[in-house]
Amino acid sequence: MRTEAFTQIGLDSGALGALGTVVHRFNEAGRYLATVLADGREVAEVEITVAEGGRPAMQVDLADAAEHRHVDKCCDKHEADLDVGGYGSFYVGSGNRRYAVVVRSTGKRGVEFDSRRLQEGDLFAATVLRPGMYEITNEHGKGAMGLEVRYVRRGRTKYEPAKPLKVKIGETFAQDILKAGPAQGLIFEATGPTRAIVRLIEPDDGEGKGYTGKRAS
Amino acid sequence: MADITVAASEAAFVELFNHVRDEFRLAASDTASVGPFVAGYEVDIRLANGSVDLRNDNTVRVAELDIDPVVLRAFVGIDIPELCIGGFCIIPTPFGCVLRAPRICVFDDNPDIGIDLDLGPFLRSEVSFIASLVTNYFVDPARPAGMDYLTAQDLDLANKWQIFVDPESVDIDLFDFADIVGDLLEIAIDNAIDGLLWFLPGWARDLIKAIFGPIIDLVRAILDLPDDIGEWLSDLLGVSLGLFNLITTAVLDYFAAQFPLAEFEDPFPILPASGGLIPVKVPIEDFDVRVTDDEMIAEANVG
Repeated sequence: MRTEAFTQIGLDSGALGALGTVVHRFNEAGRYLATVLADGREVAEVEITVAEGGRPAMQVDLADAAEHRHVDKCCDKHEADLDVGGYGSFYVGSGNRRYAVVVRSTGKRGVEFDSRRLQEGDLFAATVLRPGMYEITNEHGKGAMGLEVRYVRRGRTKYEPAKPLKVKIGETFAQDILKAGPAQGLIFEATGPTRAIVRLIEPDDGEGKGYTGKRAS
Repeated sequence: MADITVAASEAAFVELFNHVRDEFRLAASDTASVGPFVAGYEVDIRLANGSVDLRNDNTVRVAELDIDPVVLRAFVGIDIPELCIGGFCIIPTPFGCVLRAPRICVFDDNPDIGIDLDLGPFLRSEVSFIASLVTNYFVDPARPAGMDYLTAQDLDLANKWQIFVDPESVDIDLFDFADIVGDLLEIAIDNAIDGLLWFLPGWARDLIKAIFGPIIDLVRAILDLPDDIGEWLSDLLGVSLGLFNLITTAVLDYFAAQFPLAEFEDPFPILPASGGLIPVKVPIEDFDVRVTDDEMIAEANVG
């Protein structure tokens, strides 16, 4: 059983755990080097090739890379990892370490992508399981937004998380509060420098009535 | 004409039969793979009530003997299906989803859970049969060859003429479970899943169970249950696990060969030992039994 899904309560785009994924769109062809950081230390590097004819998206398991296991970033006959304009996503497949990733182009100076500082267009996809009230902040911006994750119990019908909520996040927040069901996806789209942090401030242990069968909104 | 004739009225016969009935006991257990799951039972069954009717065709009709389970436990072992969260679409396009969030599978190794049901209080089932009376000459296997009849009597190893109720066939009603067994099954599954998730906090258990949906629906999907769970249980225990056959065979064997309705020592004691004299006993031969519609008659000759 993946117990970390139930023990990693908070989410941080700059310190990814089991329930977070960051996504970057690679708009230029070339070779890139992704440096994987686990708990703040560099632990692995992953090469990414972007060229015409590559796949539209790829997923990199940072925990796999950190443990020098096989990095499953290629699963078909494409020579390139990723098509120009394709999406690279970085997630944590196992374990309790917190990860970050920094991607640099091998032919250019500067940083293409840094999960600790998302840029416009980058995405942070999060799944929150633990019911309660959360505060969402941007370490590189201002203000905060609430997130209410309601409690669910077994009801007459099977609980299915609703479609993911999409939120823009940057210098400020577009909304005051989000309401979601547990396991419902949250997709934060950076509109400027962003490190999204989702912090539990008041747990809900189901002392209220809770959800018992209606579909999540 | 027989030398000895003994008769028992129908009321006396019923008393004899009730004694035999009350001594019946079947304790058994079994386990078997039944399709995609493992099932088993543990039973400890007695017989109760019932009616006895002597008939003038030399048969006895025994009807509606209740199968009275002291213990009837059924257990089913099932695999919890894979339960995954995440996997939602991050980059949708008109042509489909380009990129999805990773899926986190909670039960990726299909853990087993066991459901244990105490069904004894909720079972209604009956046995009926038509039987003939048969005689049997019993020589105690513990009696050594050459032992004289007086020693055998003293050691309770005497030969005996026995009367058995020999069912021609046993008719067992389908197990009829009270409707409440559906609720019992749901509670048992709920408890089993709680046991499986014991190390998780309450909110996580509630979430997983909410995603599973109504437990009974989950169980229905895994076990391919019909609407009538009682009927399914009856079929599972009675047919798939062979409990009907087991009970039928046990009842047949018990009445026909294990516990006699009555027995008579051979030689039969007439006068007990007294004043230094040995007991007076007469050998019994040509022992036979029959019934009319109002009594049982046993006849024999003195050898």
